[in-house]
Amino acid sequence: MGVSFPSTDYFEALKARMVEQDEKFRRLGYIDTTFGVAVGQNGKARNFILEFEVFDLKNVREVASIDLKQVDFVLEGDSPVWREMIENIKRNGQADASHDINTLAHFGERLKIRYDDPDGHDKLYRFMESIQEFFDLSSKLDVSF
Amino acid sequence: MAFYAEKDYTEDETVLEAANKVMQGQLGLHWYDAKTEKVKGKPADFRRGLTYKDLDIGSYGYTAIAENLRDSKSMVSRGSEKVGKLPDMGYVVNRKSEVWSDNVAALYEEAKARRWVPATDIPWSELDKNPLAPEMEAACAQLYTFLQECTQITLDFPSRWVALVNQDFLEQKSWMCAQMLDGSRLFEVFRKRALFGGSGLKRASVHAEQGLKEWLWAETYPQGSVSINLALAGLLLAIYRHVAAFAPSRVDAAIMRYAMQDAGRQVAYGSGQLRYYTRHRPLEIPAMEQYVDDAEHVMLALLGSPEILEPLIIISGRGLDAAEVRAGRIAVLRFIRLAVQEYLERISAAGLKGHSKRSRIPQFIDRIDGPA
Repeated sequence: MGVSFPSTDYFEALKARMVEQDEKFRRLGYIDTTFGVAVGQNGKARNFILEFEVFDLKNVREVASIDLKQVDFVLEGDSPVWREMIENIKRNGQADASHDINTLAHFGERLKIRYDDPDGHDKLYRFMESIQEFFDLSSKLDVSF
Repeated sequence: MAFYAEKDYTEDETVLEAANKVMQGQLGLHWYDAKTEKVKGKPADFRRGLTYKDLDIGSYGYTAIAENLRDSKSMVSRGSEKVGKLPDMGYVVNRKSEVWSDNVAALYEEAKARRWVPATDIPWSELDKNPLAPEMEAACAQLYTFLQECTQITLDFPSRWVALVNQDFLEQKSWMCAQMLDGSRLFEVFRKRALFGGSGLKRASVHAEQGLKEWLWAETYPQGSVSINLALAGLLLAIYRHVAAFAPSRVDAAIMRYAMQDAGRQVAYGSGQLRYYTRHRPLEIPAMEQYVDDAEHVMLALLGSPEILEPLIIISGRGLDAAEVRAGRIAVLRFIRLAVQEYLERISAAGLKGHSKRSRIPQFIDRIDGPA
């Protein structure tokens, strides 16, 4: 079944795959972070808040805007960058070194990381392996843009 | 500085008599009705399991630990009944604000849950299948030589202090042991990576080691923690992120992704400790500012070491040709600015709010000649 990006359906589909891959995510350890994903389209942004707890994505919702004080960090980028990452994951089964979250966000050139508190920002790196594996589950989805 | 128990137990017949009585079935059960709190812990979330947070209950909990531990000097486990002449362990860190961070218990659980194994979790054979060019492998060998020196200090710092921290801070001491394990695991993976590549180790850095020794032997725990857990760990986290972004192989990418998780926890503790300290000891803020003013020059000893700058340039530019070196220099200059910016952000968020204005580091960084 196909899902479109960006949408809550897309993140809900990843959430369902995460449950199926429970063993893998348990092995990676707790993931306790709430972060935002902002996708820029034609000068506007669609914003999502993802709440991870223990080994799962507990909740995802679309919001009009993201209050930085309510999340640990926000991954923000234009739609073509997200699309390139998701298509790269689909092609390779996982993001290659040029398309993983860390590389895309390094220096803030392609994805920007916004945060209110550096402690929140650092959670991206504390849970990086789980967050990347979460997005890599896109390889199992048919995503339309 | 040996300690001798108050008697030689082989010379005390009463000890043998007491043991014999028990073994003959005459149980005293003096411990059975110990005057301790009767509680039953239960997991808040069964998927997470039973955590220290779940046991933060009454006299057993960490929330109730007083700022000054006046009558707790022995190795007794917090909440036990204390009877008789328990030895004074001579702890040096007896104030909660000197060592605590609100995230200590969670970080300890997280460190165990997110453990990994260098021997088997790194796809080592990838490097055999796709070996790096000699100059790139040499740069990696130098990078991992430098990282071993730094990681050794992140292992030594909690080791230096853990026996001096009051036993009532048991979650804190457990976290310090987890830090030692994290440090030893990173040391292991960096050493294995350097030697697996075939170039051997390269050269140690005098600047880095001089500076790291100054940080390691800071006079007090809070001072050393700012230097090691916040400044050094933050810088290492930035290096791991940078190398991951320019990783020359899947092996290096995997190592750096795991390393950033371990360093991220250390930074979270370092920031949290400074935050707790400044919140509970506001009158000490000027003295801490003065320490940071005096000690942060070590950032330059690290960032200015050719033993880290040069391998980073080669890795970032992907080679030694003039164009590659130029590209590498551009990337590394940006990395240095990012690392310093994030260091100042963390220091400020943790309570040294005016520090970025008084810090000498940015003006030195501005004097580093980058490519036009």
